[in-house]
Amino acid sequence: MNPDILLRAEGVRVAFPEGEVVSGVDLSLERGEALALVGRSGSGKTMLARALLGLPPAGARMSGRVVFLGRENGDLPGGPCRLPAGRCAAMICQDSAGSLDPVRRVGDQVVETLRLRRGLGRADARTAARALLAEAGLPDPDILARRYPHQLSGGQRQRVNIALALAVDPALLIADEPTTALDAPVRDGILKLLGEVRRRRRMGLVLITHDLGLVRGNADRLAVMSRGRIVESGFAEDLLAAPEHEQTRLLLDAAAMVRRPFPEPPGPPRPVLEIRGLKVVHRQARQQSVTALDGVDLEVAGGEIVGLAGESGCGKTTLARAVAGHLRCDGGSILVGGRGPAPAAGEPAPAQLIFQEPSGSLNPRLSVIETVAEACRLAGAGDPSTAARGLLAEVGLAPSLADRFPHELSGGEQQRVAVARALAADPVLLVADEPTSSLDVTVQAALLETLRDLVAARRIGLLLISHDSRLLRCHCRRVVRMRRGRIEKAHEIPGAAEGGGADSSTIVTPGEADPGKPETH
Amino acid sequence: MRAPGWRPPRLYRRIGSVLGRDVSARAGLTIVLLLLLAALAADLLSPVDPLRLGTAAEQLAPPGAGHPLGTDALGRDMLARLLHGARLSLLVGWVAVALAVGIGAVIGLAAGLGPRWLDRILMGTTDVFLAFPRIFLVLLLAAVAPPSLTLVMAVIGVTGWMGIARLVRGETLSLRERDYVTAARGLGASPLRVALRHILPNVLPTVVVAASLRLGNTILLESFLSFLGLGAQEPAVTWGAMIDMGRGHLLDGWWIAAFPGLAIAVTVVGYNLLGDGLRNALDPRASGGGQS
Repeated sequence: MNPDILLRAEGVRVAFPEGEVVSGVDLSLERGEALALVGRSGSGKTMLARALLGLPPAGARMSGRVVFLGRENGDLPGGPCRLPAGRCAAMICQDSAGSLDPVRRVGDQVVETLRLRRGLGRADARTAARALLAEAGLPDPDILARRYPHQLSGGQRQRVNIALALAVDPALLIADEPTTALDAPVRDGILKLLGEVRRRRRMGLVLITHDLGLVRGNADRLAVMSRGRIVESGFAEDLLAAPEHEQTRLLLDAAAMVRRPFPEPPGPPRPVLEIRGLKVVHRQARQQSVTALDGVDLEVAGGEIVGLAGESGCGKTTLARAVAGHLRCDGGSILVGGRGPAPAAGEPAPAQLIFQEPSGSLNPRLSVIETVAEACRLAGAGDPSTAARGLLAEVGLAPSLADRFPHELSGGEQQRVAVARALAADPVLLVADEPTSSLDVTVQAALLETLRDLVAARRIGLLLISHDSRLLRCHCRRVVRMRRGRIEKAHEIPGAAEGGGADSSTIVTPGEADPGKPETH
Repeated sequence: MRAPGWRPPRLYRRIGSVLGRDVSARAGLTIVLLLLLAALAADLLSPVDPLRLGTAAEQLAPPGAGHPLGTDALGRDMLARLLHGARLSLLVGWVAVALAVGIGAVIGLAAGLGPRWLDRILMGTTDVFLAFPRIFLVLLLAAVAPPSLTLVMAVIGVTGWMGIARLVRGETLSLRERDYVTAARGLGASPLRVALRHILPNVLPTVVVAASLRLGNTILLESFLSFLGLGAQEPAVTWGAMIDMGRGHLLDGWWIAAFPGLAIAVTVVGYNLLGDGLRNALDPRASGGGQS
C-alpha cells in the first residue's frame, strides 16, 4: 500500500430519515495533496466532509469505510479529530466568527488549544501561538493576539481559525467554504495561505466550495458532487480545461461569468438617480454619532446597471436605504426620477429595494400572490391580482408557484418574488443589496440575467451592490467603490459598451489585486 | 381590511402534527377539551339541579351513592355544582385573558412601532403597573365597585396586560427591522397596515402561547378573589366560591373544598401542557426532531 495515502473512503453513505444525502462516495487523498470538492449547495459536500471526519450530524446514519492513516474510522472513538496532535484532522468552517469564542482573546484561544492538545507549558504555548499567528499571515501577532474576535475583520478571523487548526499540527485539513463570506482580495489571500501551509507541512487539504472559479491553482485534484454522488473527478487542470459532466460545465459557466454585451439604450441618457453631496449620520445613544455617508455623489441613468463595491461597513447599505427613502439625510440631496426618495401613503418610493436575505424579505404568513398583489394594491393597481400574475410571469416564476408560501420556495424563487414585489411599484430604479450572495452560483447567474433583462426592457436603472468585484465587472457598465462613507473611485468597465472584454483578468480593479497584502481593520 | 388566507393552513397542520406527536401536549389538549365538554353539557351530565337545597339529612353528606362527590353544607350536590362551576370558571379565564391580550397587543404594537416618546410613555406606564403588586391592584379595584363576576373579569384583564405588552413590544421591535417590513414601507403602506398585516400575524404565535399559559393563572386568580368573597355572588357557582364555602368545613366536609381545588389544579395543568405544546408547534427553534 502506498505509504503516502492519508485518507481513503469507500462507499460512504450518509442518510437522514428523510433521505440519503451522500450516496456511495469513493475518494482518496495523499499527503501534501489538495482536493477540491465542488458542488451546488445541497449536493452533500459538507455532509461528506463530516462523514470523513467521523462527525456525522445528529440523526444521520453513516455507512461505508473510511480509512485515515491506515486506521478505520470505526476503530477511532470520536473520529480523526480526536487523534493525538500531529496525526489528526482539523476543520475550518465558513462562519469565521462562529468558530471562535466571542468572549476570549484570540491569542488565548490558540494558547489553550496548544496546552490541551500538545501538552505545552504556559510560556512555551505563548511562544508557539505567536509563531502560529505569524504563520497564518497575521501582521503584528503580538497586538492581534490580544484582540477579541469582534475586533478583527472577517479575513483576520479566518486566519486565526487557520492558526487554531494548525495548532494541532493536523495531517489533514478540511476547509468548508472558508472564503465564501469574504471579499475577493481577502479571499485570494486566504487561499494562498492554505496552499503555502499545505506544501510546507505536507498536509492533506480538502477544499470545499461551490465556486469552481476558486479551484484553479488551489487544488491538485477536483471532485464534482451532485445529489450526494461524485459525478466527475480527476486532475483539476484537466477537468477545468475539458469538463465532461453537465454539472461541471454548469458550475464552470457560472464561475466564468461570461460577460454579455449591453445593448446601447436608444436616445439620450435619462438620469433616474442623482445624488449630490449626500451626508448621513447615524446617531447612537450617548451623543455618539457615526458619519456613515460623507459627501457622496452618484448618478444612474435609465437602462444602466451601476455596481457599488466596497468592504463591509463602508456605507453601501446605508446608501441603499437612503436612496430607497428609508433614512433621513443630514445633508446633500437625492433625486430619484426627479423627485424625493421617500414613500408616501398611496405613493410607493420611486426606488425599490431588493434585499440580501431572500427568506427574510418576504412575510412568512403571506403567499406569493398575496405579497405581490398587496404591493400592486398599494401602488394603486385597479385589479391587483391580475397585475400580480403578470409581474410573476415577468420575473420568470411559474403560475403554479403563486399560492405557495415563502418557506416552500427555493432561495432563487424567493428572490424573484421580491423582485416582482419591487416592480409592482413601477419604480424608475431598483437598488439590489447583495441580491445573490446567499444563492448558489448557478442560481445567481440566472437571477442576474433576469435583472438585466428587466433593466433593458423597462429602461429602469439598477444599482447593484456587491462585495464580489468579479460579479460586478461582469454585469455592470460602471463600478464605483466606496470606502469609509465616500466614493473612492468610479471607473468605466473597459469594453462594456462594445460588449467585448472576455478576459476578465484585464479588468481587475486597480489596487485590489494584491492578495498578499494583509487586510486592514 | 381584507386579509385573504391570513394564516396558512400549513400552520394548522404543523400545530396538529406537533400536538399529535407530543404526548404531554396531547394530554393538555384532551384535558381542556374534556373540561369544555363538561362545561357545555353540564345540564345533561349533572344528576340534579346544582341549586336544589337538600334535606337536613342530605347536608354535608360524604361522597357515596346518590351524591358521587357528596353534598355541601346546604345539601347541594357537589358534582352538579362542579360541572356548572366549570362554565363560569372557564369563561372568566377566557374573557379576562382576551381582555389582557387585547390591551397588551395594542399597547405593545403602539410602543414598538410608534415614535420613541410614545414608547417611553407606554413602557413607563407598564413598569408602573408592574411595580404594584397585582393583588393590591385587584383588591383596590374590587373595593371601589360592588363584587360581581363581570368585575372580576375586568379587574383580572386590566391588571394582566403588562406582560403581553412587553412581549408584543419586544417582538415588534425585532420584526419591524425585517426586510419585508421595510419593503412594505417602501411601497407606501400606512403604519396601521404594516402593524395589522405584517407585524401582528407574526407576533400572534408568541402571544397565543403566552395567553394559553396565562389561562391557568387567571383561573387561580379568580378562585382567589372568589375565596375572598370579591368574586361571583350566590347563586352563581364558581370553583373559587365553592372552595370559599368549604373553608368552614375542612374538618367535617373535606370534599367541599377538595374537589373544586382538584378541578382547578387539573385545569391549570391542562392549559400549561397545551401552552407548552403550542410553543413547540409555533416556534421552529424550540421544536426538536433533528436537523433537516
